[in-house]
This record gives sequence, C-alpha cells and structure tokens, in this order.
Amino acid sequence: MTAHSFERNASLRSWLLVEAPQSGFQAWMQSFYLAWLRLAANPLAVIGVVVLLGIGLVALMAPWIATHSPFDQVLADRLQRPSAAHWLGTDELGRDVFSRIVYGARTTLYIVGLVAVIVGPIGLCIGATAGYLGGWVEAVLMRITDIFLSFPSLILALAFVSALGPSLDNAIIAIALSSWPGIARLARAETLTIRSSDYVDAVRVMGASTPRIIFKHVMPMCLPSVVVRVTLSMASVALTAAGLGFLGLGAQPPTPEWGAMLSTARQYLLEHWYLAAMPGLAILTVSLAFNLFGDGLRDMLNPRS
Amino acid sequence: MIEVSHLRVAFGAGENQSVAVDDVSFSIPEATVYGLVGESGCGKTTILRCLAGLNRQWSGTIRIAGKTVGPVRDLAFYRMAQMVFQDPYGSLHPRHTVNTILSEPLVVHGIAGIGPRVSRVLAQVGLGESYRYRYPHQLSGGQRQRVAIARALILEPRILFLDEPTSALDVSVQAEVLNLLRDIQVEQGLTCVLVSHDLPVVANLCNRLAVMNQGKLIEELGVADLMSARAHSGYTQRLIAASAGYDRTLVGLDVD
Repeated sequence: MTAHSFERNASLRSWLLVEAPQSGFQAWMQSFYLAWLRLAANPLAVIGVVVLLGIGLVALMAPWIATHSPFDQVLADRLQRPSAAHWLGTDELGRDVFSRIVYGARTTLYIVGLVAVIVGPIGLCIGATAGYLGGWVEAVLMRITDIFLSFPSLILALAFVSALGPSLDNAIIAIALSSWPGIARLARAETLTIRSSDYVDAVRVMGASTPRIIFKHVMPMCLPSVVVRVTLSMASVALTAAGLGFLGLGAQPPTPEWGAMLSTARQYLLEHWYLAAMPGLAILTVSLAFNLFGDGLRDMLNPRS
Repeated sequence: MIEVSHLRVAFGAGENQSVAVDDVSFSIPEATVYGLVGESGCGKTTILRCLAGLNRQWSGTIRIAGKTVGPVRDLAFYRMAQMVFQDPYGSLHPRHTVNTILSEPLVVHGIAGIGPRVSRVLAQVGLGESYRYRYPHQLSGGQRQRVAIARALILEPRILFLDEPTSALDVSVQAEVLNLLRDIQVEQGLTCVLVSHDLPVVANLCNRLAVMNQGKLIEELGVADLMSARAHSGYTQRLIAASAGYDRTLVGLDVD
C-alpha cells in the first residue's frame, strides 16, 4: 500500500469517526461504519457474510463460472464420476453437476430474495399498524395473523402449490404466505413497547398524522429486529424451497434447483453418493450462512445484549 | 390564557375505577408561569397531558387562548402549545439525528425555511452547529434536554407545558436548564405550566402555583407565600417542611 492511499484511508476513517458530523449523510455513514465494526468483531458472522456474498457472486457470474451448460444432456456421459472434464461428475441425463449447482444458486437466491422482499414489508406494516392503533384494528389484523400462523408452513405451501399448480412463482407465493405472520407478530410486540414512549408522545404533540408516526417514528425502531428475524428465517426459507423442489412442487425441470437435484440423485445414492451429497452440501452451506449472518446481525443491532 | 374548570379524569371503570384528577379548576393569565406541585401520583402530570391533548379521556372544560378545546386538537393548537417531557433519554427518537428531530415539527406543519430555522433554534438553546448531525446517544443529559426544548420552541408556540423538565438531570445541569427556560420565557413572554415535585425549582420559575394531593387541588398560592412558608392548608405546610429536609416528626403527621 502506498503512502498516498494510506493517507486517504486514514482521512476516510477520521471522516467516519469524527465527533461532530457536518451533514446528515455523514451521520448515516458513521452509524453504518460503527455497525460494521461491531459485525466485523464477530468472526462467525463475517464467515456468514463472506459465504453469502460468495454465493451471490457465483449466482451473478454463473455463465462465466459454469464449465458446461446446465441443460445440455449427453446421454453417453451419464452418471460419470468426478473428473477433470466434469468436476462434480454428471447426473442421470449426462448434465454437468457442477454447472447445475452453480446455476442452482440463482434459483435459490431468487426464491430467498423475493420471499424476503415480500415478507418483510408486509409483516412490518401489519404488525406496526396493529400494535400502534390497538383496539378493533389490532384484533382483526392479529386474528388473521393467527390463522396463517396456525398452519404448518410446509403443509400450507404444499396445499397452495397443489391448488395453483407447481411452479417456481407459486412456490415463492406459498412460502411468503406462510412466513409473514411471524414477522407481523414480532413487529407488533416491538410496537407495543414503542407506542407509549415519550418520543412518540412528542411527535403526537407536534400534531403529526397517524400514518406519519407509524412510518417515520415507529417502524425505524422495529426495523432492526425485523431484519434479524427475516435473515434468520431465510435459512428455513431456503430449506422449504429445497423441500418443495424435492417433492417436485417447486422449480420444474429442467431448471437447475438443489432440492430437485437431490430428489433425482436419491435413486443413485448407493453407487453415486456425490450426486446427492453436492446439492445437499450447497443447501447446508446457504442455510448455515444465513443463520450465522442473522446471529451476527442480532448482536450488531442490539449492542446491549 | 388557560382556563380549566371542573376537570375530572378517571381511569378504568366500575369498581376498579380510580380518579386521577377530581374536580380541578384554575386559570392562568398570559405570560405567567404556573406551577403544579404535589407528590408522585397526585395527578399533576395527568392534568398536563390533558392540557397538551395527549390524554383524551377527561370531562370538564378547558379553554385555551379564549377558545374551548375538546379532547382532539387541530394543527393550529399544536402550533400554539408545545410540551417538554421529563426524561430527555426517552423523549428523543434514538435513530434520528438532532437535525431530523428539529425539522420534524416544521415538516409536519408545512413551514418553509427549515435549515436556517433549525440553526436559529439551536443557537437559542445554546447548542452550536456542531451538534446538528449528532444522534441523541452522543449527547449528555443536559444537551438532550436542550434539544427537547429546541424542538418545543421551533414552532414558536405561545404556551409551553413543562413536565418536570429538570428532574432527570444532574444537579449541576439542572440550574443551566432552569436558567435557559427562564430566559426564554421572559424573552418571548411565554405562558408556561410547570409540573414538579421540586419546590426550589418551582420557586425559581413560577409566579403562582397550585398544590395538589390525591387528585384534588388543595390550594393556590403565590411564590412569595411559598418562600415565606405562608400556606393555609396543613398539607402544603408539611410539603414545604419536607422539602427543607427529612424530619422524623413529619412522618406521623402525614397520615390524614
């Protein structure tokens, strides 16, 4: 590292740590930097972040990383053992397993990402609204939440997918449908402690409207625990997605999907164990990484605990 | 400026009903500081929350600036009357910078010129520009209370409700905040209602005060009467004696 770039790094650091920020943007960046420092102090969380970023990168760069097309069937080369040509061997239709796992990362991240984007805001809105308004609004919203919560998530997803037909999008809707209630409950519980606080009374004394109080003052306080909860539940979402794929109710062939790959590999388990082991390992890695990252986030966002 | 007559607040219903404020009447002329004094749980904060529009379950009449107000207030009311809370550690949003906290009332009321106005009010409460983009956790208790006062002042209200504004602060900082409040009150001719159990604070800021006990207003007296301990009711006399220091002989007298 040259002296010049070192100097620039030092000034960036002091910009991030100065006691009196000059702008709102700087204050924001400072709180992000401090949060990052707390996260970086937790090695397991850093491993989780690195693994997730790695999987994201693999999904993004799949066409360049994969050695073969994930769809090309070469029946002459079926069920080959790992070799230089096929790093993780080939499946029962002669497709390259390594390439299918690389492309499968796209499917998994697509499901996980979309579920997070659907579930987080819905749960947060319903929970915060119910918690802040109370009364009959809370009763109605929370009873609806309870109804969804009372279904076992995989069973609900199974019923939904079999009613609407198996496809990736239906699997996403089904998983989202069964995972928002937990987040709504959490957001409501957080809101109950926030709504009677002085800083909320202070904005009421300003004459702020109820939606403004909920969105601008209550939700930012619920956000950390919701983010942690969503991240941790992403692990189980990845598993549910793989489970639906395994049962043939998620991504449809020939889309490369880890659960579906596992399901077909099951028939060849005795002679070709690696065929099932590799997608299984991928599923394990993703859900472990989400768990580690979620734990780290929880420590980072609640410095008290 | 403020007239309260036959104010009554009860929480709960039926047998469990507890009356927090029982038939209280008083009136406060413009540009004076009125103290509400009493021990914990005597209903003084409840009265303040009714006046500020935070507590909506009351009966009686409240007239503010010549107009009778109901439980639900409009924006014009909030622009005229603001409140400072007891605990500066709880009354500032933990994830908003000082700038956001002070801009919020202006945004809500659709007032233009936010930047200069925030600078002006920060200077007014004795905090410089360097505090503008800090988060509350980066400030001391006294600085936080100054921000809370700035937030109340930024709408340029005519009335300020003060809920024990110094009781959560260090003794050394209490005096600073009290002086700040008195200077602002004199300078702008604000009408203030101060709730406190701290008689020296009340004597320092108020023109008149009311002594409360168990939801009832026991008596009203001027500050001169308080200073020379010329109270009519026995309760007030004991309150004054108690604030002078712990005295064993008072313990038995307190049971009515």
